[in-house]
Amino acid sequence: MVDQTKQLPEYFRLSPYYVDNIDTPGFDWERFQDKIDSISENLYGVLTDEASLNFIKSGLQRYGLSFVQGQEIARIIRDVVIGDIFIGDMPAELAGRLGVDQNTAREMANLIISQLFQPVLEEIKKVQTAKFPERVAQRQMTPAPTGLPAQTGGQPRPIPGADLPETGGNIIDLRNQR
Amino acid sequence: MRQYKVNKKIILLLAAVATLAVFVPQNFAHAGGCAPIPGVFDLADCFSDILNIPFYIIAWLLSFVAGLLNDFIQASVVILPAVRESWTIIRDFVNMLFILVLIVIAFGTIFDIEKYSWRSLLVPFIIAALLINFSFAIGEYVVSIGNGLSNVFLRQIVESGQDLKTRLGAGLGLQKILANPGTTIRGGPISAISAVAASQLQYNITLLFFIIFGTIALMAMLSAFFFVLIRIPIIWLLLIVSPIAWIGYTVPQLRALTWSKWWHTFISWVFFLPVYLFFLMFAFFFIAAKGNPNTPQLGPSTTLGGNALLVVNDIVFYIITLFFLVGGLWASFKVGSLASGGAGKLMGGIQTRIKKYSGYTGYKEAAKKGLKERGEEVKEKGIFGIGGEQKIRLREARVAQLFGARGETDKVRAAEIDKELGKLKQLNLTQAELSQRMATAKGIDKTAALKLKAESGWLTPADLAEVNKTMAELGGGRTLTGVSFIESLKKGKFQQMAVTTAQKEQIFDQMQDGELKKAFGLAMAESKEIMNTALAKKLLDLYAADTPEVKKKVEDAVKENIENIAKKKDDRENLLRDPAVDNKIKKLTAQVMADKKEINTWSLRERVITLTGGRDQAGNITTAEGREIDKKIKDANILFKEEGDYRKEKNIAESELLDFEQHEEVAKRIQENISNKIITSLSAEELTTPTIFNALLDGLRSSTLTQRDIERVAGKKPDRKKREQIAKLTSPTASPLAYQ
Repeated sequence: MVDQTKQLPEYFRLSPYYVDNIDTPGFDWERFQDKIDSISENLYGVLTDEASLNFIKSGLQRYGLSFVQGQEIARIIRDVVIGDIFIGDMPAELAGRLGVDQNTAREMANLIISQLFQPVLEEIKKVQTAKFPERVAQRQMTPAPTGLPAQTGGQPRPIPGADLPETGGNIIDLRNQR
Repeated sequence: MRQYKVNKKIILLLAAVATLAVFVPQNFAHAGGCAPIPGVFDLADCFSDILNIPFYIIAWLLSFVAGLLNDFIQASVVILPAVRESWTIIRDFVNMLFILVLIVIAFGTIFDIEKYSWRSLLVPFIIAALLINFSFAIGEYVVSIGNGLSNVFLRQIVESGQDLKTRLGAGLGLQKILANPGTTIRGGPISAISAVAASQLQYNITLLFFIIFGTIALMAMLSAFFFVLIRIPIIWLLLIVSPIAWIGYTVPQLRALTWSKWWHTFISWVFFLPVYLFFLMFAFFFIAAKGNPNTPQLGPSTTLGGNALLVVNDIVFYIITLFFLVGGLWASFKVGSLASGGAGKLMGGIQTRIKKYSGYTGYKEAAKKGLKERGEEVKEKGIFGIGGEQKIRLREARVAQLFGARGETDKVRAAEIDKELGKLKQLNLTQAELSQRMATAKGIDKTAALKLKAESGWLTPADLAEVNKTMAELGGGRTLTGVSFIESLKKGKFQQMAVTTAQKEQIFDQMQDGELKKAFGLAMAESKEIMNTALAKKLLDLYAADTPEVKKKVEDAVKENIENIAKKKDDRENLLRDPAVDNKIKKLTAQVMADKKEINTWSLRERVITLTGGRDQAGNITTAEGREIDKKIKDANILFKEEGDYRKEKNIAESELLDFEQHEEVAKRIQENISNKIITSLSAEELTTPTIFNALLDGLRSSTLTQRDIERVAGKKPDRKKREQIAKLTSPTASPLAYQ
């Protein structure tokens, strides 16, 4: 019945959760599972939801990135969510790992934070504060970098991907999914 | 009585003569010895002549005895070397007897005879054992005190310038008599008596009184002389035997006969002389006062008619002198008794102080308790293996058993062991102390010690031989005592009998008694230390003949060890399929797998049903055990419902195995039901089921199923086991599982 020639759908290859699997070389799956055990259901949802996959796909289209670069974006999102990467380092990580300029990387980071992370931002902050307390404190004392939200409370919620003309109305608001 | 009659006659005769001499008319006298005037018989004068004879004899004897007394009274007690040598011999001999006294104390203590127990005798024994070596010195010291006192009084007497003879003579008027021997009142110069007695009548009265009092004085002085004479050798003898008195002090029954008697006698003889001299000294003072012209004379009222004043005065002095002579003698020995009583009190005081200052009382209480317990122990168990109430009870039980009281010996022995065990527990012994006790104990004591060791979990591999031996002695693990012993072992959980599981297996194999082996094996099972099927089988076989309840308990315990024997699911599955493994073990493995929802193929399910009794021809499971476990298996996995439905549709018997195509059809069916949301959830175990896994894998690869379907059946945030299984499904290298 199982057709071995068939590959798994794209979904599993660009998803922040499924991008690396139990048998991916160099990937510590057990450690990753430990982290998953410690995060909330909502954060787990950000990693596995189809909306995240679609967000990444639209980004690839917008910035003209490859599938492999899309997998790197998925990994950076995953690592920020589980607290392996400091959220303030995301632009640098994107620039470094994707090979894009700083402005593009910053823009991409802003999009991820303002759109993908928006519904779960408080929970991400908790994870980040727990993992990088000194850097979070330092950041609160200095002006927030452009594009990175200092506090989103009170501001009207932007629709994720709404400012991405390529995606049209294809962006799904994760908040409406939960 | 006879003596009294003789004395009475003498007294009457003397009284008659005296009356005659006094009251016969003076002119009724005749010539000769009794006729101072020729031709005239003078009875009074004649009577005087008669009285003069004893008077002179008594006076002479008094003078003689007083002289002797004077010489001997001044002699001090000198201790001769021979006396010391003799004392040494006696002391050495008596020292040997202390061993006997110790034995007496030991028996007194053992049999709890208060008077002879160590509590009463230890201090006197120590005192006596020490002081016996100084008994001679102590005796010498007492003698020196006596000598010193004697010298004090003697000096008073001697310093007056007159010796005892002179003084006594003066008191009794002896000098006057003896200085003029042969002088009478008749016609001659005034005699000594005439100086005292103014008339014939007075003379006779004085004479008579002198004879009477002189006789008494003579007796008193003779007695005094005799005592003074024998005093020194008696003191020597007492000093020689003094060690016997000291050893006698340690034995209550001999104390009065030896210690008290010796001291009484010794003190009496030592202090007899100073006390006697004390009274003599007073007598001397009175006698001296008699010769003093300033001495007041008795008043007229005391006259004995006419010119009797002088006579009465003499009589008073006679009486006073006699009082001191006789009374002194009596008092001397009386004071000796008092002094000996004082010696007893002194020893009592020494004993009390030794007890007080040596902390004896504190030790005594502790030791008293210990000895009381020891006493009770001896009472209970006898001594040197002889006697004891415990033996009696056991003997009675054996006799009762002979007469048909079944198990009586066992019952009594169990009670005795428990009693000993209770006592041992109260001692709060350490493991080392208990082991030491066990090494020297015998019989019931040893069993009790071993039991306590077992209860405390202190039995070591080295104790195994003793455990086997004891079990055999107790009649095995089915007797009351054997059961009780095993219970103790269970209580201690065989904690130190072996450290590693391998050691425990060895111990298990070396245990000889079946019941003991069962208990040990069960303890191993309960602590999840059965690591192989062979040991598990041995244990299950040991309990094969037990009641279903007991068997169930053991099976449950062994079941807990199945995961030691087969750690992984695959190992357990292999165990179920291994023909070499005993069916009892397989059944338990099947139960474990059913509990863990690990039976996820139809073929494995059928194997379990076969193990529990199989199916009849109609396909129904024959045993309740089989039905129970099958229900558990079916409820745990959706596969069995789906495959069951498929089999029904295809009319395939339940016992029949499906081929690959049929399995694929079942997988397809499951895939559709997930997609159609008929199957809404899957457990981690179901996700590992080959048919379901293949259904999902194919569904994802062919896009029949989506990520959402997986999310739905796995849950919003699946547990780690499910996530692992999903990861296997979503791995790019995932391949389908083989159908079994």
